Amino acid sequence: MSLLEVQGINSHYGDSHILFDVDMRVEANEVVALLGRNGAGKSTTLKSLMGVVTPTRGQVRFDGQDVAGRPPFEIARRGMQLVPEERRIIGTLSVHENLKLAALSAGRDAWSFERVYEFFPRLQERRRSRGKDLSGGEQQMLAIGRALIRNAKLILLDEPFEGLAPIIVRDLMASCQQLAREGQTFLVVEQNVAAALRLADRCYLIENGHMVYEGSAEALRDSPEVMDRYLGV
Amino acid sequence: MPSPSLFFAQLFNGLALGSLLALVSAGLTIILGTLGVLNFAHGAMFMVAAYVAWWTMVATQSYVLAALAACAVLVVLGMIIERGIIQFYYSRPPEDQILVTFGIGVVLVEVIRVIFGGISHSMPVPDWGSGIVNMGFLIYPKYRVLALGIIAVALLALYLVLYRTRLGLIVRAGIEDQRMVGLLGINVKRTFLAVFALGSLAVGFAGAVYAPIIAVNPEMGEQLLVQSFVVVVIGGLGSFPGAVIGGLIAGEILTLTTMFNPAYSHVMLYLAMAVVLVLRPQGLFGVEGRE
Repeated sequence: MSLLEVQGINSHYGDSHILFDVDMRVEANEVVALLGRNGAGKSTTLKSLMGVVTPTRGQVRFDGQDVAGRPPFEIARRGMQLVPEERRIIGTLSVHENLKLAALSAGRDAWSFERVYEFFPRLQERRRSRGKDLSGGEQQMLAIGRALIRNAKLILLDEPFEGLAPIIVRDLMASCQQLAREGQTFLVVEQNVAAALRLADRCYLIENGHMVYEGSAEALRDSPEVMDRYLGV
Repeated sequence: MPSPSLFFAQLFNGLALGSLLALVSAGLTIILGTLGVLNFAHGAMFMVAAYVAWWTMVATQSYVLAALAACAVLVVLGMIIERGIIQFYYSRPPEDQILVTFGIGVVLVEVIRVIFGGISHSMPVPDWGSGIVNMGFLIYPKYRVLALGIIAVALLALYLVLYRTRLGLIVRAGIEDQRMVGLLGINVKRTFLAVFALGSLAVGFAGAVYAPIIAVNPEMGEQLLVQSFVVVVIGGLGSFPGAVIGGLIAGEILTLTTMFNPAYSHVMLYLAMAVVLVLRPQGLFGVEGRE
């Protein structure tokens, strides 16, 4: 059984229908990329999995249980962790307090503060700084650190490299690749297709709320016509 | 020009009023920041606390019992109000929330009026607080000096709850970004009852400590409610340091203006609020971008 199995979910924002019968799955220890143009429904898919948007129809089976319709805090407690696009670091709390907040409802086998700081030494240096004083790259490290300290079984990364300098993207990419090698499962949404394909084992393409392609990252790299059709501008 | 001794006396009066405003506003601001509800019953709750303290003091002659009774009654009252009424208004428009909390305030005032009548009562000062203190530059009633210290300790206790406990961490984070706190596995709604009780405890304690200083009557909370709203705006919505600093600023503005012309004291307070709103719309310690 897959860690995440999504069957026929439909989601709406008010009257507009955003997702149409979306199917997907994520296996444990796998990195899956969800690609598509702006407004294709990538972020809505992540939000629907996490319960931020409640799917109007369909099933989301996570770790053997149907979580569709459950509130985000319950889904988070079962081990899914959204790292939102805007990162949403709590600006008035320090780096350490942000981690502490994330650790409050984490399970017993969660990462220790030391382990998170070892993994992101920059966060250790800035542990007393307030969230709003961090650079974009540091905020992204902290956002991922919050997921690690909760020992999330599945981390949903929404545009993790957006708006960051290339050198920071390279470092963050290396960190994510290391986590993936250690068995961390990711579902990543990214405009930067090259970066996403370097990270991912498998990919989905979504267009206008419909899943239109599924295949390995290699296969997609070797199909310029598919990329052009669904990702080209 | 006022004499130096009058000036010092008013400065000290400002500190006393400011510390009261700080504690009352702190309760108001954490409720507003966390629950998103502007509690128009806050002034009436202050009044209820003062009545409980006065009644207990007269009946038992014990100041400690009076303060404890006021705190206990207010915590229970706060929990009944949150569970019984306000919890059904979280997802309703602000107008509904204002109307229902305003209504709760009216009911509290009228219930007290029915039980104790409309006249003012005065709560006796405890023995250890009677007399005066000569501070050299200023001769001041002893209880007022002590009350300042007691309020300061209460503010410190509230600070410790907000900055050193698990609940405090959730409250501070939730004031800024409640959805993210939920995404981190925390059921924010479950803290609402505790936060409302905490805010009620703060205003209850303030009412008990101030009952011997001001006239205890059914309307005593009205002006305080308005002043506390101004403090919350000046200090920044949901900010505890903002409530403390804003409270002290408001206290000084009110008393120092009174020294020149009492009629202008509230005008100056609103002027200060207007200046803050123009220069720093989120308030002195507010978080930018919060709705």
